[in-house]
Amino acid sequence: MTLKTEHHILRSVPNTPLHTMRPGRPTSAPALATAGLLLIAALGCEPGSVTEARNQLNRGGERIFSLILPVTIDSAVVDDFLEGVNDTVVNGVLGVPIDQQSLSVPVIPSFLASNPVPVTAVDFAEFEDAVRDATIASSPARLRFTNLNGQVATLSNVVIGVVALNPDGSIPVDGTGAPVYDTTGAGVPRTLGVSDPGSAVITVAVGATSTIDVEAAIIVDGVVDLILNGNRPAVVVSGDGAGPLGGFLSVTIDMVALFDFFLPPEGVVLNSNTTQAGAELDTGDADQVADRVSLASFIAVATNRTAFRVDVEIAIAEGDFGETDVFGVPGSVVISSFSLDAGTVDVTGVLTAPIVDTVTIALTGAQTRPLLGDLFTASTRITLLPVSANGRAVIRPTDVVTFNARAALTIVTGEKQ
Amino acid sequence: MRRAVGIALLAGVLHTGALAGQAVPQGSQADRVDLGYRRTPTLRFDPFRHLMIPHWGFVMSFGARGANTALNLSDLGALLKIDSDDELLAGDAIDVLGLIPRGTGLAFSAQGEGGFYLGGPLPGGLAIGFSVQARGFGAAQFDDDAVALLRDGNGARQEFSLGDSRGSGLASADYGAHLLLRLGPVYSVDGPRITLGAGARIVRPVAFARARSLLDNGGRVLVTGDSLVANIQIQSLHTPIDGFDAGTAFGDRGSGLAADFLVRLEWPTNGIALEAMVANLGSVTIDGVERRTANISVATTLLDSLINVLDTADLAIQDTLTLDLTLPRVVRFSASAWANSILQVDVAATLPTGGEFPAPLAVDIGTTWRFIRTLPLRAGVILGDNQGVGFSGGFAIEGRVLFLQVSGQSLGGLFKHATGAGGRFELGLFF
Repeated sequence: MTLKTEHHILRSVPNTPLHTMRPGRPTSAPALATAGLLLIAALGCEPGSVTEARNQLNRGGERIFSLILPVTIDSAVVDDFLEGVNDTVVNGVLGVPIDQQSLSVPVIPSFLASNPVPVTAVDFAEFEDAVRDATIASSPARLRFTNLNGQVATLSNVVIGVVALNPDGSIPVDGTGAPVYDTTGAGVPRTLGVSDPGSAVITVAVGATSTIDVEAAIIVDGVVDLILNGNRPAVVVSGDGAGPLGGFLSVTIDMVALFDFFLPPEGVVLNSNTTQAGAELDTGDADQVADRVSLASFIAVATNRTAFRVDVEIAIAEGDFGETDVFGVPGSVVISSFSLDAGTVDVTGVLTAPIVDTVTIALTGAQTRPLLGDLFTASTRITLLPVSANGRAVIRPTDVVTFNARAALTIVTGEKQ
Repeated sequence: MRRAVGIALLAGVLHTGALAGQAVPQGSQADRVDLGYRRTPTLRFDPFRHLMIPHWGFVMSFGARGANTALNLSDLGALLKIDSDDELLAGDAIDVLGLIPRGTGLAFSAQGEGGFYLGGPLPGGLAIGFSVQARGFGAAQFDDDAVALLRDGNGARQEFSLGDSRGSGLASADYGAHLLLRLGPVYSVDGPRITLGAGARIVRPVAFARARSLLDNGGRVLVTGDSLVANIQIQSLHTPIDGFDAGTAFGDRGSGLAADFLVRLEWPTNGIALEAMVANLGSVTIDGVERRTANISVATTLLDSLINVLDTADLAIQDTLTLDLTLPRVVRFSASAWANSILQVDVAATLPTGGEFPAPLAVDIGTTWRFIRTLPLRAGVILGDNQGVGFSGGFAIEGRVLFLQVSGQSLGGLFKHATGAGGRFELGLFF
């Protein structure tokens, strides 16, 4: 910001915002300004150096400028982290649909059918790391068996499972030729028996579609984990078929990865990077202002309506670093972390009572420096920590953290600055 | 330094004893000074300033004075130094804000004039003068209620307003005639001589501008950690600058009439004079004044909302009008006396004015030292006005064919510490 040294009075400018208006000269200003300059020169009023000049302007003595403003009273909705994702809601819980899987199942004894799940089948946006680190506790799946043959088909011992495909794309099998299923952390194979409700088999009439809804968390968690860990999953359907020999059933599987987690004790981490406009001060201005900032603080009364305790760490660095985490970037500033307590959560992971907490972030003058330039990148690490006894927590579209925040800025100027 | 000058002036005055009734010794410098030159010149507005010159001739003169309540000449020098050798930064602006005195806010005032006078004495104790002058007045006041938010923030107080913040400026071209009638001495040869003066000036407005709040007490601005409230209405009036040309400015901007009156009583042998002047009585009609208003009314808890309101706030053109403007009236009472054969002491009080160009009471105490009769040296003290104590000085050459006068003021302090300055130059040639 460069200032002019002319004497000014307000001048109105058509269609110009008030706060951008520049003052104009009074009619006699040119003569007065010239006379003033001559007078200043004649009296030797110009200091010998810029340092002396700035000391002169500090003659008013030490002075504290304190500004407290409401920065925002806004809501951080958890759903915001899924921006761009075609999310859905099942039983009040937020989820991400997995691309529909289609298989062709031969109606024969000991059939085995599989379908590789493309890595693009799921998109969790900012929640990717969190989903990988957590265990999905509940996710629905809908299977549709369509019989276009001329004979009723009956499937028994039907199992759907998840395998991690071999590098050549083949299904891993054991010595008996049975698929080697992916397992949970506890070593449990990721398989799920499927049958018509109240029956041990699946019966599909001619020209009909049999729809079966199942709880498929173990399958969905496997698919998601394999994809997010860089492996290639495949959904496998096995069983015994009876009916139209040589015929096939068309099978589709629709799954939703619900945000219904068992969180590890250490929590799950959400990372995000944002690049924002700063105060847009020139380098000299920004350095000078940062030097004079005694304290900049952000004080928020936060109402946590999520099922998590939240730990937040923020690092900021001047400039546009894109998606690069700036925590380790030279010159970056790590702002002191803060925590947000959680409310009461029941064993199903549902919030039953929100909590009000106070959050304070305090910055020194040097820490404000990255905020004063044209652009700054902020990397945020949000750790969602479990609250319920079993670590289960769900995310609902209504989950929100409300901030009633104020920013306080204290600038010390004058002789002792 | 300031104290030393004050003490020296005071000592010069006091060592002569009582002023009132001091006779002017016959044949002294005081006795030989023409009555016209005993009227000590002022840097303030004075339409009669040349009318008492005892010779026919013309005088070219120009002068200006400007002052503020915050920055002294050293501060201005510092700003110039930074601007020329480095760059003025936001922190420098913060420092400058810190120099604005708490409680009084920031005030600027400036006036300037320049022009020609032609005149001289007539038979029968009359004198007549014709003058053409270009004049400018400007005054701006930023109320402390408005400045405090920028200067101190809202840590200690949260409620602000524009208060009495306002600014006005008028530039005009005047031409007119003034007449003096000298009477007396009355009652006796030592009785008072009475001088009556009157005159009128046609005032042609050249440019005008005004900005002020339309709401009582300057509206309301509330800035807390929880909410932001602003209810402000600003009106600006100004003659458009676009397409400015002299013909338009002098011919079509309107017109006005100002009257000036003077009464002066002098006891020449006692060296005492009393004077009352009422000047600039009248008004001027200004055509084509563009009126603009801006309304800011917001109550929010979001800083972004306030910024959006400010971003879209405009001084929108409301209409164009003809404005009748009352000229800033000048009322001044003066007294002077000869303290001894070489020293004349003057005291003048210019009463406060309100209205468009407000000015507080100002008292000028001046001394004129005539070690050589035609070469008066002047020094004085200025009290009141916008900047407290000030100092003045100057000299003149009062010849038969040549008149030269140079004077200056250091306002609010001496030299580097001055928050204002004034100067005047006059050159006359007599027939």
